[in-house]
Amino acid sequence: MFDYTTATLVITLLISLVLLGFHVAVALAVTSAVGLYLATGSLRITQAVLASTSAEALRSFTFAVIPLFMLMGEFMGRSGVITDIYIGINKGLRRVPARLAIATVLGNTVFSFVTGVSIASAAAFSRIAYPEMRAHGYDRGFALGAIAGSSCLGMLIPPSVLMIVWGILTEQSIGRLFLAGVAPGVLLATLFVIYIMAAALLRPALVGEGKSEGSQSQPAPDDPLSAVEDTATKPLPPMQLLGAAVGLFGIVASILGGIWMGLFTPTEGAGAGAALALGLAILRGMRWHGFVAAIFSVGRIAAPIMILLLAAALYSRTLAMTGVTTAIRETIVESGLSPYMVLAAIVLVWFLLGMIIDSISIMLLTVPIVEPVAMAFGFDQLSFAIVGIIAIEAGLLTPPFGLLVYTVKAAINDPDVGIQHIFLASVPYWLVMLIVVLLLIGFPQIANFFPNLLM
Amino acid sequence: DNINLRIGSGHPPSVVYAGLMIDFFQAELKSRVEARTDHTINFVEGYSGSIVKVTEVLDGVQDGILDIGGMCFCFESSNLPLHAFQAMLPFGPMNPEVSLQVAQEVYEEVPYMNDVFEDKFNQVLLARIADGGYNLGTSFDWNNLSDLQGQKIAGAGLNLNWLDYAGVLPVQSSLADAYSEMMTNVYEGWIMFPSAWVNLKLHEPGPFYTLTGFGSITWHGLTMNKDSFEALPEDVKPILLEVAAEFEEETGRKNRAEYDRLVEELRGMITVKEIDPQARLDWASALAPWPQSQAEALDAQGLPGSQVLNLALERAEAHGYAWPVRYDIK
Amino acid sequence: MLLIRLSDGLTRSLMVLGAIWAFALCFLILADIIFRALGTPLSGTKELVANSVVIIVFMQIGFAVRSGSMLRATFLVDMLPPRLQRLLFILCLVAGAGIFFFLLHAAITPALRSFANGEFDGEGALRVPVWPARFAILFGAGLAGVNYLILLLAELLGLRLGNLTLWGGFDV
Ligand code: NA
Ligand code: NA
Repeated sequence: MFDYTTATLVITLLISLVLLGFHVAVALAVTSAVGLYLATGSLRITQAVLASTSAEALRSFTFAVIPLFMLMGEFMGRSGVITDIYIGINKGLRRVPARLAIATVLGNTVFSFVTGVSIASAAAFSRIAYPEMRAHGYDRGFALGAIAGSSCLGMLIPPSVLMIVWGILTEQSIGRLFLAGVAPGVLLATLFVIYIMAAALLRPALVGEGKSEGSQSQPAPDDPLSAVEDTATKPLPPMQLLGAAVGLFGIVASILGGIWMGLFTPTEGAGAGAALALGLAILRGMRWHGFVAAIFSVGRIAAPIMILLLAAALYSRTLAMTGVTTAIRETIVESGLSPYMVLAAIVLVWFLLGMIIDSISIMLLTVPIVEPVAMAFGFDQLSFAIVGIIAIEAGLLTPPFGLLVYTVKAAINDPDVGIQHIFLASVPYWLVMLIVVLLLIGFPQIANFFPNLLM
Repeated sequence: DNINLRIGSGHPPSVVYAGLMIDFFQAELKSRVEARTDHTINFVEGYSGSIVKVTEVLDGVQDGILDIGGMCFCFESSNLPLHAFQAMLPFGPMNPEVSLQVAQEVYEEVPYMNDVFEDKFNQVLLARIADGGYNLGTSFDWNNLSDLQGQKIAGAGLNLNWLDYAGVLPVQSSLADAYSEMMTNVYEGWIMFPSAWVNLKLHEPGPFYTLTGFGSITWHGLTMNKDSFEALPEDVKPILLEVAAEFEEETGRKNRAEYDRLVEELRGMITVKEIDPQARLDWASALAPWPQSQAEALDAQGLPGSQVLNLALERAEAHGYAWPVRYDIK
Repeated sequence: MLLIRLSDGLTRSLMVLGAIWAFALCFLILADIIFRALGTPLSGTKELVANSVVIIVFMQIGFAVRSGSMLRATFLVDMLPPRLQRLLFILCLVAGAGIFFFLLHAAITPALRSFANGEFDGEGALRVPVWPARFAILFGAGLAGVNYLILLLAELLGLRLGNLTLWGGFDV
């Protein structure tokens, strides 16, 4: 028997505090302290858990890759490589409908290979792609949906912070997880492109076409976006594009090659990648100011995430100490549900949690409980991991706590766009992710193809 | 009365001793207490590091985060350096039951081994736990020690020294990364027991498993917070100690049976062979000065290092074990 | 006000130091890779990095609080009347200060114990002491608590705090 009162309190208190706008890390820590005290009846033990978790939860080599991969993405962003490649794709797609949105998806796919956090992709493409899509008369929501939706690729295509955390929690190889994400990531990008093209063909107004001539060629004079030039007509010296492509693919190839040849481990690849990206950024003209801004910006973005990780670890220990974790696992295993119903229930829980808390916390809270359950029901371990990552990542697009949506909103600096517009426009991307989840459950080979081929 | 106990380990139940904590220790304790007393026991489980990580079990039990914890002394090199004594005597007995007997006799004769848990860490040592024996798995075939010179081989903690003294390049690693790092040639081998070679699929990147016989080491333990122990009803305490003593023996038996079974399973999959006796002798000779240096370091900390190492050597011999090189500790 | 400026200075410096430290780690890892490839593995890199993670996070925690980077969900709060919004925010700041001072208090004993036992990480040539990370928790939790108090004071007294910019106006 376990204490239902404590368990209920620990869960409802957390949700209430988060909904009431408390800092999520504070809500997690306060709830944990209360729950620990109720479960143990001892202030001394409560304090011991707090202190021990603070010291041990993050004390791992693996967690260092979070800031290091961010640093790599930051240097990459400041080297101008991403902008050049986006323009290159944009030029190449000249005759394709909705080319700017498609270029956003493809650019994001490329950028995903060097960044480990979706937020970095969302922030970068909000600045690169949004002004231009607006200048071409794209529907605001449609443009932002493409940016927010496709930045989810950052977590699916290696390197990925979510995969690192998943690998830590389930004690499986992060290298194999990285490889497992490649095929589903490319599949997801392809489906995004298909959706965009279909939407553009069915409703050309979304991409600024088929409207009355005047509405597009004569934007309101006070519209600051009308000044944005069309990058497809912007001169891009072939050598500059070549340089960008060689730089980016060179770094991706040296990381993958270095891992493959045994020069370093997948986790060490982050350190090597950051150093290489620094070199590239300097070669391409990043100066002292940009360099300092890059390392400060990583500190500013990484620290709150790491604190959240710490607080979530504390909460997950609290759940274990109150016995909730075991109770949930036993309830599921003994429920007599069919494996697919269990899986559906797990995915549903992820979607629902995604509406209120961030992906890494969801992982810390749920993976230790549901992974053994899924393994007990005989699911393939790698595809289950990728299903989990996509399902949780979809939560970044769902209201009310959609981290990617907030990032996009913060980065575009356009007061006319409300959070709700972006959430609404993200729905199709969210549905496409659900389709990929179903495909992975039906065909686990999709996730296993590259790991089996290469490792 | 119902007794609530938080029990756990940093290891998952798939590790033999952690699995036995659930299937044997918890199950037996629960049923015997219910059969023989008016009390019932409810366990709150925290395995796989869900309450404490492998490195924080000793502290966790000391502070009462866990009432009962299973831990490896290998992660306590600053708090319990002497408790890894068998790792300082490589090429010892491979039979976990013999390893356990040696440890039991050493603990019997040197009170510090038991007492330190109560005196310094506010806990009671309930049971000592022997591991399956260590061997060397590699991605390449080898016969002599010279074949290993300059190769990169992974280990963790103290056993990195076994490699270093033999002229092998030691690489610090952890089980979670073993598969991918072997696969991508970050290193070419691992000092590892058969269970990991089978369960973590290390036989794929490492198709050669050489029975080097580094020895089975009794360096896991089951401990209980002292306050929690003292708070137990008087009629429950003897039952708990009785189950713990049986659990101690059971881990030896199960680890021995598992070792034999897994080596057989490996034979069906990859090349498994006995180490060449000369290579074993060469390796042990290369390591000969190391136990002495370990003993000196322990003595310098005020611990009975030389006494314990000498006792362990003698007790193994008393159980009929012949050391390939008889380490000489002053 | 002087105290606030003093605390802000400390918060900012620790953030900068932490950022530089995190950046330096990539060169430590690179050096480790190179030396291992040359057949002379460095020992203790992983332990050094692992302990650095804890220290860096607790060096930067104060800045995260003070600069308002701590993540929160405001969708529901935004729909409430402003007075209630303000009350909830004040409660959030009180809870933040409370929990971090509680952590500060809780971390004292383990930090002293770790220092007294000479607790270290790793084996062999380079043994990385663990106590600096333990003391970083003490210090970081204290600074985070102080920053919550500063925000609380500003909110209660209606003070307008300056933005916390970094060196040379780097507002990232
Ligand atoms: Na990525
Ligand atoms: Na969400």
